[in-house]
Amino acid sequence: MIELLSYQFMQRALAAGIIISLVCGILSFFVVLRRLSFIGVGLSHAAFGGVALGFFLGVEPTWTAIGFCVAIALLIGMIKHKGKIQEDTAIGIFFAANMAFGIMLIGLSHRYNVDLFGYLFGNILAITAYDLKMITAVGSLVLVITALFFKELLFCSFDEEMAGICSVPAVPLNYLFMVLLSLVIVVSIKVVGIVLVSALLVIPAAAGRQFSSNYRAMLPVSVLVGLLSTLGGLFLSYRFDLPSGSTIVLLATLIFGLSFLWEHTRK
Amino acid sequence: MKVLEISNLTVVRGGTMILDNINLELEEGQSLAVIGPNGGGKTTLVKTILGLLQPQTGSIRIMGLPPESVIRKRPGTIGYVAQRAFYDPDFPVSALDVVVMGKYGKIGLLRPVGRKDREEALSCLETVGMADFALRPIGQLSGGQQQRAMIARSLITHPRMLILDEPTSGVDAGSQENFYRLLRDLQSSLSLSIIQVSHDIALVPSYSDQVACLNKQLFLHGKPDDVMRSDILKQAYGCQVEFLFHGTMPHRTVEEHRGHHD
Repeated sequence: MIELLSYQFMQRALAAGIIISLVCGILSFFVVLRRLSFIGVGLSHAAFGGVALGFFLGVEPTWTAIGFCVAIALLIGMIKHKGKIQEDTAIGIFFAANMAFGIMLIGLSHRYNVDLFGYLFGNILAITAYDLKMITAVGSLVLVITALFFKELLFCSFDEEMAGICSVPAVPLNYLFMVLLSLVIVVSIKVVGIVLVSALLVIPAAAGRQFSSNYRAMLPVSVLVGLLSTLGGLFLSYRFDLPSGSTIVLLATLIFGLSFLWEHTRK
Repeated sequence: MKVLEISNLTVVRGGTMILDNINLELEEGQSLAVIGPNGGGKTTLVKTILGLLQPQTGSIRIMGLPPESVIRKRPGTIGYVAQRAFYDPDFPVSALDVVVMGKYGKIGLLRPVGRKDREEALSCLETVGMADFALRPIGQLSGGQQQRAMIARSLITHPRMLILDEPTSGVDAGSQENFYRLLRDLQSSLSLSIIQVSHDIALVPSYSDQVACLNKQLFLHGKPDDVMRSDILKQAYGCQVEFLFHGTMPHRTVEEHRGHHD
């Protein structure tokens, strides 16, 4: 284990894993409480459209993915706020449309890109120094903003309409939350991939909720579950030569399963 | 002083007129029961007063200001208790946490909840007789207890006016009267103005200073006994009316509806 840490790629993988699981653990808390479990899927596939756009235009895919994903997130928020259709319908539309958009752009760019596989399924062991910088910057930003608006985000998750009546700026905060989610999804893609990133935004809090009836306990437990799955998954994937993203997600699912059993045998 | 003035209010939603030329005034410290059939526009009226819906014509003034300005500039002036206490029965917060939430808008962005806020929340729970349940998860309380906690939440900002939309629909029959009694006590001890919207014509009017019947139009605006005696109720409901009176009135009155249903 010690000699493992002497590898630079492993140090970067660990640092990225810790930051991502911390941030995803906290956001998953709100995703689960807001019953928005499908949002991660919608936005990560929007990120796929953005990544493909980057390949097509020949620019750094992370930036196009951030721009594209944030735009789609705001659009979903706007449709929910203004339109007659529900949020999950809006997500359902964009989920498929962005995937189609991405596939079309990749078809048009006429070149097979090895990197694409990395975006789809993630490879934490291939995190570059640049990736780690992005993850650190975005992770810290999201953590600070979430901490600053924690009480308002909590109230809006509980009862958005009532929060608005109690003079909490519920609508702007809803947009802010969508933007934070997009940012985290885009930087997490390198670690677990577009296909699996939504798991990190649901499973930690789903497990955390089994253990606790108050958010003060649920939040740290969610973060802990995220950390355990990411670090444990990373170790297992290295030790047994397994794909990192899927090992992390399967370990998280296992922890959720155990938490579920624990909660139901306790009753 | 008038806490609420509604004049010539018309609300149209999806091409249908829901509220037709409503005029209503509420004096400080007075309570008003708005009763009427389901679909008569009660919830629409509440949402318009709260600034959640925009009227086609007419105006609403709360302490002289339009609803949105009151909510933006004077957080906590209006207390609101909704029909459904909240959406997620397993939401991981205690009754005390929920009451403190009522103050978030007044505390303001970027400022943490202080110990004083929590003490205030506890004293609000005490006011509604719920201090012993402060640390219980909100979802583990009964319907009546939850609504009491919601009243405590609206009280934490010292509102001038309390608006309740069918607050007892999830409260068992035995506790409903206690709930109305609590509201009446709050009204007198805090000189609170209360608007309660309800289809409970049996109990709510007897606990209110004034009663209005709403079925697209506001049919009447007077003292409870007058409303109950008149044919206005029948007009508002458009069918047979059955209700209980308390106090000096006969205990059960059934008015036969003559003519056809519409």
